[in-house]
Amino acid sequence: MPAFRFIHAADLHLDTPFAGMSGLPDRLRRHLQESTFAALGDLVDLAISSEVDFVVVSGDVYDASESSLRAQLRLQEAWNRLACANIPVYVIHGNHDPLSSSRLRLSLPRNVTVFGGSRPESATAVRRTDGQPVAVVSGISYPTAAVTENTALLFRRDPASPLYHIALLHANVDGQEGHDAYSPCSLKDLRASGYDYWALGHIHKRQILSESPWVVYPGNLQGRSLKETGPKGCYLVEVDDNGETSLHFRELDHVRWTELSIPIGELATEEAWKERVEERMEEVRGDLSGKTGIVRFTFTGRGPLHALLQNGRGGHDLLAELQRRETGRLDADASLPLHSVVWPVGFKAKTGPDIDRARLAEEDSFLGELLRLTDRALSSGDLRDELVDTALTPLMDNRHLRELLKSLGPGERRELIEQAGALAASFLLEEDMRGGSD
Amino acid sequence: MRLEKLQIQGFGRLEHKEIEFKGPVTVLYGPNEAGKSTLLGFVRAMLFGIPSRTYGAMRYEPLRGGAHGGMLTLRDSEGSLWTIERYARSREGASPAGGRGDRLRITRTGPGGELREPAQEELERELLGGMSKEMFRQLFAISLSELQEVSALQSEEMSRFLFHAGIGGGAAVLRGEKKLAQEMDKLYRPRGRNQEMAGIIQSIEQLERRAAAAKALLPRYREVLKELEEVGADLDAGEAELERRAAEALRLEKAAATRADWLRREALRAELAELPERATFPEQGLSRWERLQEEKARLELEAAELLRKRAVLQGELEAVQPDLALLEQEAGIRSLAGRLERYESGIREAAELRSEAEQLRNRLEHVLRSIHPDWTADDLRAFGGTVGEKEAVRRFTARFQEHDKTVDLLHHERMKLEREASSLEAVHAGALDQLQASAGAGRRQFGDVVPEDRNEVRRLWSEIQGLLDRWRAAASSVQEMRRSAEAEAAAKAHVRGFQQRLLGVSAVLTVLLPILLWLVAHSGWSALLGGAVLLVIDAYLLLALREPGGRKPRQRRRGGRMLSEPVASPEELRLREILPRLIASPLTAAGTQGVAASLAEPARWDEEERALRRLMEQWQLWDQRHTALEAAAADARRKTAGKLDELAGLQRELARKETEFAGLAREWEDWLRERRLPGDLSPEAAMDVFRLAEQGREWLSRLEALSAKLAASKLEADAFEREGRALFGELPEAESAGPGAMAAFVRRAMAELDIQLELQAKQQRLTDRLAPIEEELDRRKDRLEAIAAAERHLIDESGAANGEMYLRFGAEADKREKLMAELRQAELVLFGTMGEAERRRLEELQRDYEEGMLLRMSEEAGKRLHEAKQHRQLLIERRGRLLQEKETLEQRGLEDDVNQQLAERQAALGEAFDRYAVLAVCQELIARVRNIYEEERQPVVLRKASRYFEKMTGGAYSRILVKMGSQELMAEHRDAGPVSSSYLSRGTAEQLFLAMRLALSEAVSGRESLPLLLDDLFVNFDAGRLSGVLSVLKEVSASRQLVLMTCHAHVADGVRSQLGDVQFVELV
Repeated sequence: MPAFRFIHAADLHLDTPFAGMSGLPDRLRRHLQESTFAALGDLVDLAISSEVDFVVVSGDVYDASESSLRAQLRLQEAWNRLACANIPVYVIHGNHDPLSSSRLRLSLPRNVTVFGGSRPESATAVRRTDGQPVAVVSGISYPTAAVTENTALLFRRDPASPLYHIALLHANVDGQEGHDAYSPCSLKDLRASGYDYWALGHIHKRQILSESPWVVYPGNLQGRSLKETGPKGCYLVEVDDNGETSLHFRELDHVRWTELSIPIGELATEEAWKERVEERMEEVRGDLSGKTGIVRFTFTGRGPLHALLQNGRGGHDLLAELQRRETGRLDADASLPLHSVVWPVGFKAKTGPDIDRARLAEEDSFLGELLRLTDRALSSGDLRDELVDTALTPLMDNRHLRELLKSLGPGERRELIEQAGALAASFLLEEDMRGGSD
Repeated sequence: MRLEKLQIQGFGRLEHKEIEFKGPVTVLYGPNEAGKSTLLGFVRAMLFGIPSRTYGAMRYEPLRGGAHGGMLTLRDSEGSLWTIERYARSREGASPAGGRGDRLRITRTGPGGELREPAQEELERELLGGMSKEMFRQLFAISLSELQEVSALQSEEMSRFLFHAGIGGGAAVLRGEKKLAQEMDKLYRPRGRNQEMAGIIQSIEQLERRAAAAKALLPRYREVLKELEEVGADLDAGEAELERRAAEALRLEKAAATRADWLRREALRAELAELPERATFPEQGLSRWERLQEEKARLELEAAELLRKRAVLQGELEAVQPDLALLEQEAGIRSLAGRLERYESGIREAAELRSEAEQLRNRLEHVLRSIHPDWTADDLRAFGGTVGEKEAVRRFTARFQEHDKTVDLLHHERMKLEREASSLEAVHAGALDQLQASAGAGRRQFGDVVPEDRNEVRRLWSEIQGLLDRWRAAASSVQEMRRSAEAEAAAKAHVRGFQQRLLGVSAVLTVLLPILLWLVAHSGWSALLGGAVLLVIDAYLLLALREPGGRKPRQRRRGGRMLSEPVASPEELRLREILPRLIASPLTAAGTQGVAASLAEPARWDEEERALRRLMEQWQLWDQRHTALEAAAADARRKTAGKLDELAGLQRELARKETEFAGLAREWEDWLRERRLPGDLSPEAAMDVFRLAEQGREWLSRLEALSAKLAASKLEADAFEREGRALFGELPEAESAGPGAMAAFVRRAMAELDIQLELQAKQQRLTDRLAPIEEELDRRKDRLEAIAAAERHLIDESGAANGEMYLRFGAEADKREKLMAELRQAELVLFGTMGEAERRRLEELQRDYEEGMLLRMSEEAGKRLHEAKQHRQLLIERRGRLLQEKETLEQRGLEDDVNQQLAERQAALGEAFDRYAVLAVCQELIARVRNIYEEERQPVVLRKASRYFEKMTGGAYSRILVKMGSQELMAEHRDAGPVSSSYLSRGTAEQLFLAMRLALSEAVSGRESLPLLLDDLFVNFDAGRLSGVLSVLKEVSASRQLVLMTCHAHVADGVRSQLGDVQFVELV
C-alpha cells in the first residue's frame, strides 16, 4: 500500500454568527465574522503547504439557514485555490447544509467531489506525486436537514480492493449529548463496516472514538460560542506504506474561546477582585499567541463579594470597563493586530453569600422558609417548572422571549432557582443587617 | 402584676379618691363623667409620668386646683409591693423632686419587708418589661378611641410581635420585593416600550428584517446568475442573425450602388468580343521594336566617329622619334649625377682638413715644448700617463706628506718629554729633602728607643703590650685571692703597687731603647743617620727622665713594702728581659734590676708604663708619616727614571725617520728617470706633466684622424673621375682642366637625357590612346549584328512577314490589352474581394432585378439590420445591469454583518432575559413564602387573636390574616372568605381589633402579666357578641387582672353574670 496523507476537517459552519456576545466594537465584529473564513483559508494553506493528497470535509460546511451569499462565494474561492494546487476535495453535506437546501448552483471546480444523498458513493483517491491509487473515499450527504435513519449501516467495504478505505459521515455516534441525534449509529456499526478511517462530522468537540479502525471527529474549524472552547482545527492524517495511520492535530482557529473560573473565597475587597480579573485576562492574553481571545469569567465559591456580584451591578461595571478598555485599544491604534485583543464577553456569578446556608435553611424564619422552598423546587421537577413558568409568565407576551423561555432546560431552570434563592437571601440578609444597625 | 390601690390626690375631676382592687376582675361602673376615663389616665400617668402641658386635656389637671397627682400601689409577681407617688410640678413653683418635672417617689417593699426606692427607669424595666408608654396605651389601658386606631397595630413595633423575629415584620420582604419589581421594571414590562429588553427586542426585530433582506440576496443572486445565462444565450443567437442580416443588406446596397459599373462592364465585354483573333503578339512587341531601331541608328553613328579619331592619332605618332643610344646610357649618367654632389663637397672638404691639420701640429709642438725641451711626439706616445702611473705619483706625494707629519710630531713629543723630565727631577729632589727632614725629626724625638730597625721596635712593642696585659691579669687574680684577708687599706696598697710596677717597666724601657735604635740603624739605615738619631734620642731621654728619677726611690720604697712577698710571675720576668731592649732610658740604663724594682713598685710602674705608652703612640704616628714619605720619594725617583728612558727612545725614532726619508727621495728620482723626466720634479709638478701629456696625446690623435680623412677623400674623387672617363671617353682638352671639369660635363649629359625621355613618354601615350579606340570599334560592330538578329526574331514571333506588318499587328494587340484592363477595373469595382458564391449572388441580382427594385430591396434589408442591432443593444445593456447587480450582491454579501449583529443582540437579550428570570423567580419565591407565612404558618399571636376573634363572633369568622408588608388586617369569614378590616362592620371591626390587642398584650408583656384596663369598649356589640367577648375576657382574666369600666348597666350585668367573681366598684 503506498503512503499518502490527507486532511480531515468538518463542521466549517462558514459565516455562522458568533453566539452569546453583545456590544462588540465594529473592528472586532468584522474580525470575528472573518474568522471562519480565515480558518478555511488556513486549511487551504495547510493543505497546500503539507502537500496533502486530498482533503475530506465531513459536512456542515456552511449553515443553509443563514443562507449567506458570502459563505458560498468564499467557499468557492477556497475550492478554487485547492483546484489550482491540484488537490482533490471530497465533501459531504450535513444537517446544516443538506442537499435540499437552497444552495447556490455555483459550478464547482473539477477537484471537488460531492457525494450524493441516496446511498454512499465512492471515489478512488490517487497520490498526487505519481498518480497511483491510494484510497477509496466514500461518503453520503444529508438529502434533508433531518436524517434519522442509521446511514452508517449502508457503508460496506469493497472486499476486492486492497486500498485504504475512508468513510465520510455526518453523524452522532453513540448518541452524544448536546447534539441532535441525526444519523444515529453506534461505534459497533462503524467497526463492522470494514472501513479503515471514519471521517466524522457533526460533533463540534474534537475526539477520537477509536483507533482501530480510526473513528475521528476533528471538531469544528473555529469555535463560535462558549460551548466551543479550546483549540480548534483539523487533523492531518498520514498513512504509511503499511497502512499505519498517524493523526496530527493542526490548530486553525483565529478566535479562541476561553472559560475562566475565579473563586471569590479569598477575595476580600472589590479592588482585589478587579485586580484578579484583570490579572487573569492578561494571562489569557499571554497564552493566546496570535489569536483573538474571547473570555467569560465564572465566579465561584462563597465570599464577601457575593452580594456585589449577585446584584449584577459591580460585575456589569467592571465588564463594561474592561470592554471599554479593549475597545479603546482597538480605536487608539488602527494597526493594532486583533490577535492581541482579549474580549471579555461576560461574567457569570455562581457564587454564594458568605453565609451558612444549611443553618439558615433550618431556621424557623422567612428566609429559612424561602430556602426550604428553594430546596424543594430544586429537587422536584414539577415544582421547579411551575415556579419558573409562573414567575416568567409576563414574558410569554413576546415572541422572542417566549422562545427563550421555551429553550430553558432543566439545568438552566435549576440554576435560575439557585440564583434567585441566593439573590433573595442576600436581599433579606442585607435588610436584616440594615435593620440591626438602625 | 396587679393593681392594688389607687389614691388620687387630685386628677381631673377626681379628688381625694381611693380605690382598692380586689380579685381578678374589677368593674368600675358609673355614669358619664363619673371619671372612668380619668382613672385610666391616672394609671397611665402614675406609671409613665404625668403628660406635659402640651398635651392639654390628657394632663388632667385638677379642676379645682390643688395637688396634681396621687399614689398607685402595685404588687408584682414576686410579691413585692410597689408604691408610686407622683405629683405634677405646680404651675408656680419649682418641682420638689423627680424627673420630667414630676414629684416622684417610688418605693418597693419586698416580701421580706426590705424597702428600696427604685428610679423611674427601674420601674419601667422591671415592672413593665421595658414597654413604651404608647404601647401600654394601645394594649393595656384602652379606650374606645385607641381600640379603633388600626394604624397602631400596623406599627413596626407591633409587627415585631406579630411576625417572627428576624423578618423585621415583613418590611424587609416588602422592600426586597419593591426593589425586585423596580429592577424588573427596568428590564421588562409586558407591552412596555422603554425597558431594556423591549429595546433589545426592537433592535432584534429590525435586524431580523434586515437579515430577511440579506437572506433574499442568495436567491436573487441565483436568479441573476440564471438570467445572465439566458441573456448570454440570447446574445449569441442574436449575433448570428445580425451577421446574416448585415450581409444581406450589404449585398443589396452594393448591387444598387454598382449598377452603372455593371452596365459598363457589359459594354466592354461586347467590344472585346469584336476584335479579330490573332496569334500571340510578343509581349511589349511595339516598344521593343522601336527601342531596337533607335539603338541601331545610335551605334552606326558612334562607329563613324571612332574611325575618324583613329586616323588623327596615327598621324601624330609618326611625328615623334626619340634618340635611343643616349637612352641606353641612362643608368650610368644617372649614377654619376647622383654622386656629383658628394664629389664636389669632397674637394671642398679636403682643403679645410688640410688647414685644420696644420693648426693641430702647431699646438702639439707647443705642448711638447712645455713638458721638456727634448721631448718629441714619439716620447709623448711612449709616455704612458696611465692611471697606475698617476696613482704612483699620488702615492709618492702622500708618503712625503706623511713623513713630514711624523717628523713634526716626533719633534713636538721630544720637547714635551724634556719638559716633563726636568719637572719630575725637581719633584724627586723635594721628596728626598722631606725624607731627610723627617728622619732627622724622628731621631730627635725618639732618642730613647733602642733599636734602629723600626720593624724590631714594632715587634718588641707588641710583645711588651701582650706581656703587660697578661701580667696585669695575673696580678689582679693574686690580689683577688688576697682580698678576703686584707682590709680596705690593702686594696689601696695594691693600687700603689701597681703604679710602682709601671714605673719599673718605664725604667727598663729607658735602658732598652738605645739598644733597639742602634739595632735598627744597623739593619737598614745609613750609619750616619742612625748615629745622629741615637744622639738626639739619648739627649732627649736624659732631659726627660731626670725628674721622674727623683721620685722613684719614694715610690719604690712604698711598693717594696707592700709587694715584698709575692714571687715574680713569668710575664714579669720576660718583661724585665725585653723592656731594656726597647727603651734605653739614661736613668734605668744601669741594669735590669731597675726594671724589676719598678715592677715591684706598682705606682711608679704605672706612671712609667703610661709614659712608655704615650711615647710609643707618638712613635707609631711618626713611623706612619715617615713610611709615607719614604714611599713618595721612591715613587718620584721611579717616575724620573721612566721619563728619561722615554726621551732616549724618541731620539732613536727620529734618527730612524731621517734614514727612511733619504730612501724615499731616492726612489722618486729613480721613477722620474725611468720616464725621461727631469729628476728635480716634485710629485706635484709631475701631475702637471700628466695633464700636458694628455692634451698632447689628444692633439696627436686628432691630427692622425685628419690625415686619414684626407686620404679617403682623395680616393673617392679619383674613383669618380675614373668612372666619368670610362663613360664619356677622354674629355676634350679644353674642358678637362680643373677638378670641376668632370662635374660640368656630367650636368650637360643629364640635361640631354631629360629631353630624350620626354619624347619617349609622349610616343607611349599616343600608342595607349589608339588601343581603346580600336577595341570600341569592334564592339559596335558586334552590337549591330545582335540588333539585326533581335529584329528578325520579333518579326518571326508575331507571324508577320515584315516590319510594317509587324507594326500593324502590334497596334491591334495594344487595343485588346486596353479593353481587358478596363474590364478588370470594372469587375474589381463590382466584386472587390468577394468570394465566388457571393459574386455569383451579386451577378444574379444584377441580372434578375432592375435598378428601382434593387433600391427598394436594399432599403428593406437596412431596416431589418437596424432592428437586429437594437435588439442586441438591449441585450447587452441588460447583461450589464445583471453583472452590476451580481457584483453589488457579491459586495453586499461580503460586507453583510447583520447575522453577527443579530446574534449579538440575541445574546444581549439572553443576558437580560437571564437577569430578568432570576429577578422574577426571586420575586416569585418571596411571594410564595410570604403567602405561606400569611396563610399557612401564622405566628402565635395571630393564631391566638384568630381564636379570640372566632370566639367573639361565635364562629362567624374563622381567623385573622395580616398581609405582610402592608400589614393590612383581614378577617376570614366562614362563608365569604377573607375580608379586609376596612370592609367590616364597626362592631366586628372593633371585635377584631380587640382580639388582636388581647393577643398582642399577651405576647408583649414579658415576665410580668400586666393588668388590662378596658374603658367601655363594648358599646357597639350586640348581645351575642358581647357574650362572646366576655367569655374571652373570662379566659383572659385567668392569667391577668382585668379592670373594666362601663357606664352601661347591661354590660355591667353581663360581666357580673358571665364572669362570676367580680369586684364591683360604683363610681359616683
